[in-house]
Amino acid sequence: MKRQYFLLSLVVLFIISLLAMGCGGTAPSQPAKSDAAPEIKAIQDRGILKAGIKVDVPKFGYKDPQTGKIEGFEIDLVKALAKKLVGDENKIELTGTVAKTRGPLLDNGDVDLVVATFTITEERKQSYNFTDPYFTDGVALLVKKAGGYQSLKDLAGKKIGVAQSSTSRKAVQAEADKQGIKVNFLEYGSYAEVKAALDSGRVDCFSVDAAILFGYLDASTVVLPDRFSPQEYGAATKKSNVALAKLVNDTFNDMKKSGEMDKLLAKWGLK
Amino acid sequence: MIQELLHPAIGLFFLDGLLVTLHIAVSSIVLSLIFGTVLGVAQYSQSPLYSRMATFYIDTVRNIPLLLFILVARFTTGLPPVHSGIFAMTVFTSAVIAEIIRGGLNSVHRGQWEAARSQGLSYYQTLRHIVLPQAFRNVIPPLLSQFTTVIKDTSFVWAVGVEELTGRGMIIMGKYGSTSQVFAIFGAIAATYFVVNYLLSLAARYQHGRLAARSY
Repeated sequence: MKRQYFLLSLVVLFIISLLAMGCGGTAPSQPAKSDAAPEIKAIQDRGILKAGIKVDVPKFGYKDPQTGKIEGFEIDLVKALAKKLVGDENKIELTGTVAKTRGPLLDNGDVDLVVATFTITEERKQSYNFTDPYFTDGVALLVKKAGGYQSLKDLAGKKIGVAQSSTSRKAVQAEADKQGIKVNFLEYGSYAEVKAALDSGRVDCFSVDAAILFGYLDASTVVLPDRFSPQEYGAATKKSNVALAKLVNDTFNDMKKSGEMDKLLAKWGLK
Repeated sequence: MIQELLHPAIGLFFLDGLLVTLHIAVSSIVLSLIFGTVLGVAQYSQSPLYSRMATFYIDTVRNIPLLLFILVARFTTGLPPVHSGIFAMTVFTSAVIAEIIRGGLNSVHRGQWEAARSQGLSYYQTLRHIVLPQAFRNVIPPLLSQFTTVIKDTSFVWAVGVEELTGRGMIIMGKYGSTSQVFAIFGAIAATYFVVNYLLSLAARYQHGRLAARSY
């Protein structure tokens, strides 16, 4: 009988913990604006802006192990949006995303928008609303110093590591075709895995946008000067959330005009 | 450089990921054990309806990759990330546990049923008091093996952004992952899974020994 009670207690405890976690953290709602679009009004009524961000990309969206806080340029952009939408930059709920989950999280309404090193492409524009680019960068190449590589041409016949679902592969392939060289690609689940593959010699080069690569630079590696196919990052919203997309875009454009965007870029060493 | 990794805050950050891993693993093990037992008994049942329904569930689930369940659960259930992970792992693991339980039920001699029924016990009383306890004792080793698999499989939930042990390791690698540290971090992740699973197997071996001693 004791064992039965123990098992029952475990189940009850689990159910209680599920309920407790589900009910936690309701925020005071903001005064709703009657003329606001329904999706904007929903955010204002909720009093919290829900955003999909990166937690593993230093400078853009990174959970610092020493402080446990998620910080970066894109987090500051989300804060600026929260200030405009709900009147307080701290009224945000951040959800860590990876390349595979950014789109579905928007589609099913888990997040209001995604600000997560999301490169704007024509194909992606068919599925989501993108803002004008808030950051433009080229795809670059990180190699071991010991390899003696100077440019993409030196990587002919070598293996290049890229992240799955990223646009880097296409960009490097196009440039390699242009230069008439052949390169091989190996895809990994995260940037950290590509870096580990480079360190262990499984790949000869790690390719992604330059600003991300600089976060992985260390004493034994170097970022080559080549830059291909400018990658433009934009914040994405669900296709039907047109009013929210406009508001986010207007906010970013205002920040560009006022110089606030440049200040943030400088703060995170991205300019 | 490697000293940075030894900062207490980084250690705590990493261990916090272990707590998430344990939360997902323990919750899915407990729930899967309950659902898996019900499914296993249903499959063993002489009722064709229950048996076929359970077999259909088990065959379907076991032939679909766990990662797919995790992705689908994350985007369809509306549950918070950790809970959608527990849900997906429970759906998957209960099918495996059901097969183990069915095997255990089969291993109990038919004479045990006949003896119990001849004493006037009902089907469910026989199952609950006579057959299931013996079946569980017989399947402790494969159950343990499945529990260790569940603990390792929790690393899949990083694919939907849940910061469990592997995910926390990856985040640490994002900033401190230069050549020497990358392997130190991978080593720490592997060593932590090993320690947890080894302690689990020690506990199970001890419990198995106690049960075996009691039955003779």
